[in-house]
Amino acid sequence: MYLPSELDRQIIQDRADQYRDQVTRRLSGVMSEDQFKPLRLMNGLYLQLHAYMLRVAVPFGGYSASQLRALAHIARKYDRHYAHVTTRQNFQFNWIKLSDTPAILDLLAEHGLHAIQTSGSCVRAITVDPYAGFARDEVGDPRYIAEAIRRWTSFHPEFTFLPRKFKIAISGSPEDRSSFRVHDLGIQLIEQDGELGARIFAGGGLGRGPAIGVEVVAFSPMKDVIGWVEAILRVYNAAGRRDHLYKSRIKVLVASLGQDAFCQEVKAAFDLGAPTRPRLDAAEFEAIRKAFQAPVFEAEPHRPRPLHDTSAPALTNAKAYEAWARIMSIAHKVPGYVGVNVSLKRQGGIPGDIDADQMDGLADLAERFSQGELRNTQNQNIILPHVRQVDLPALYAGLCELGLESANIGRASDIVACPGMDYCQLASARSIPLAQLLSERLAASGLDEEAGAVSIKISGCVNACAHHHVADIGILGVDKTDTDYHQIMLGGSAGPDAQLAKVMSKALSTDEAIEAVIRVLEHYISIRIDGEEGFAAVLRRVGLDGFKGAIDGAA
Amino acid sequence: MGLTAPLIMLEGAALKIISANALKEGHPLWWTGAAWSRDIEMAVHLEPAKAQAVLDARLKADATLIASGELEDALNRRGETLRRQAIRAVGPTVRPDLHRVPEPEPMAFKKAA
Repeated sequence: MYLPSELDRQIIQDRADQYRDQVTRRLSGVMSEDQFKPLRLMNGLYLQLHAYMLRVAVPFGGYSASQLRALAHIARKYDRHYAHVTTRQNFQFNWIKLSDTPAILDLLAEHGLHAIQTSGSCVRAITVDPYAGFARDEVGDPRYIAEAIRRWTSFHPEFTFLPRKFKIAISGSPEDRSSFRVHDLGIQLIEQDGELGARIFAGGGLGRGPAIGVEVVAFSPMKDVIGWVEAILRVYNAAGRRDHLYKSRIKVLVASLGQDAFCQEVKAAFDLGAPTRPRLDAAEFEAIRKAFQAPVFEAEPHRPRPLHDTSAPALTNAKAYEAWARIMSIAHKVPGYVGVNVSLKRQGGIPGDIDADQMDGLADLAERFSQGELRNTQNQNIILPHVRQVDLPALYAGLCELGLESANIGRASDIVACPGMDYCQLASARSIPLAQLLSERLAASGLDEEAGAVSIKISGCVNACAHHHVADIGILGVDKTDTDYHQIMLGGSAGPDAQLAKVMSKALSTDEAIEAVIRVLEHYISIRIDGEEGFAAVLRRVGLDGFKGAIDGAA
Repeated sequence: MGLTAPLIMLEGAALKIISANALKEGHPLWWTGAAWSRDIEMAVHLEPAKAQAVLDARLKADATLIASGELEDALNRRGETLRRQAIRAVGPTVRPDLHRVPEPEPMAFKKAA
């Protein structure tokens, strides 16, 4: 995991000090709300339905056990005993008082945390594959180039006031777990003739007018990646629209210019910037690599046992453990180790919410079993990245004590849902109640287990914070006569060959939407080949029309 | 009923309430006509033009008490409090344990000039 340097700590504390002064001036009336609002947003503080919401940055989704304890303390002392994991791998607190925020930012700074780049028209906190550094299929660790870009973009005077927010995602593997094709800028690390480099995409995005990013650079040597990022940002900064909020993202610019013209502009900017182009030389790259605390793996990872070992004395339910170990373990590049998913999708629970006691307990488990390291995922879950297989039974027992033993990663009940109208100022409908009811229904019907890997994502409005466009089953909340309604979409996927889901239904009530999803899953199970064909493969084979009857209830 | 009720609802929908968030704490507030209250039931329903004028005045006068201010429809077409406002008034529907317990008296901390 990344260890903040002294310089990082000084920058974070300086920002916290500036912010304390800004809050003092706002509360005393020296500063108006219009003057203060952009400043608080630059420090991750939004005003939502019930209170201020503080978004804490988790660069690349990774954090330490001690940082998690600090976040638990904030949840307990300044919020209402819980935090929320977002689809951008951050933490959010929903019940913050403005007058407490200087103390909170000080506390965050003390632990190398902050809320910088979590709001505003800047380069936002960069997201990467949550399996970074341990994935077996990884060609390069995406965190190092992400950190290089973070260092270069943080407070960059040229790119602090972009036309709109700018999100970057980076993958280091052929299999994408970062959704890089639907970000403003996406990077996939690849190898070419034995050299590590990057494939670079731009103009992707969800929200209004979703778009899949176009390839701008087929292969860039690592030393030039920042130069290409600079060129893309420079073109966007100069030509992106500032006159219309909904047309200000880079995807609109790319669509209006066309891929070829946009790429030419970027190439020209890249060439023009050559004399002063930032380069990432080997020494710099090595310095960044060293800033990440490398896990220490045992050469002989203790008495090799089968992955689904059930002999630990703490286990009282061997069958449940076996299922958990099978579903929640992630293949690790080091023999004898696994990554472990921790689901925040308890049946009937609120997706992504974790209470302060669970945070403390999970921090303890991370220290005991995962070298003190944790990751947030875009699917609102948590990963313990370096767990010895031999420790799985004891880890499971610990998770059971915390109520975090749900074994549903990647299944239909692993529902991604935005906060929706229960918290969010922008939402058109509530998302969480639908997620809760649906997860209960899936479990009760046995469909969750039977269907296997199916993604369901629920957004409460067109801003698409739950990424519903790239789900097998996407659900969009709409407001109809001041009541929750939902449109169902099918066929979305992130990944190198990303596809956007297509709208399949009119606006449905919550009950109708649940029934429609159940019918879609039943239909999928009934027509899949050999009981193993994946949801996306079935959709490709039968087409969207093949599911229309299930959506409408006519199948 | 068939003729009268919809007309009443339409009139209701046209009226506005003035909502804000407390600057220091961030919690929602509604203008009662004389003060800010945490109780939406105390909100005064005003014609849009009048509501806008009051809001503009309050944003100036109460700059150190409120963080934002906006006009919302007082009622939806069914004659009910708008869902968003109802959720603000009580708390998230998915966390009844966090619902606001109203004080015996509405918290009015700023009298109108």
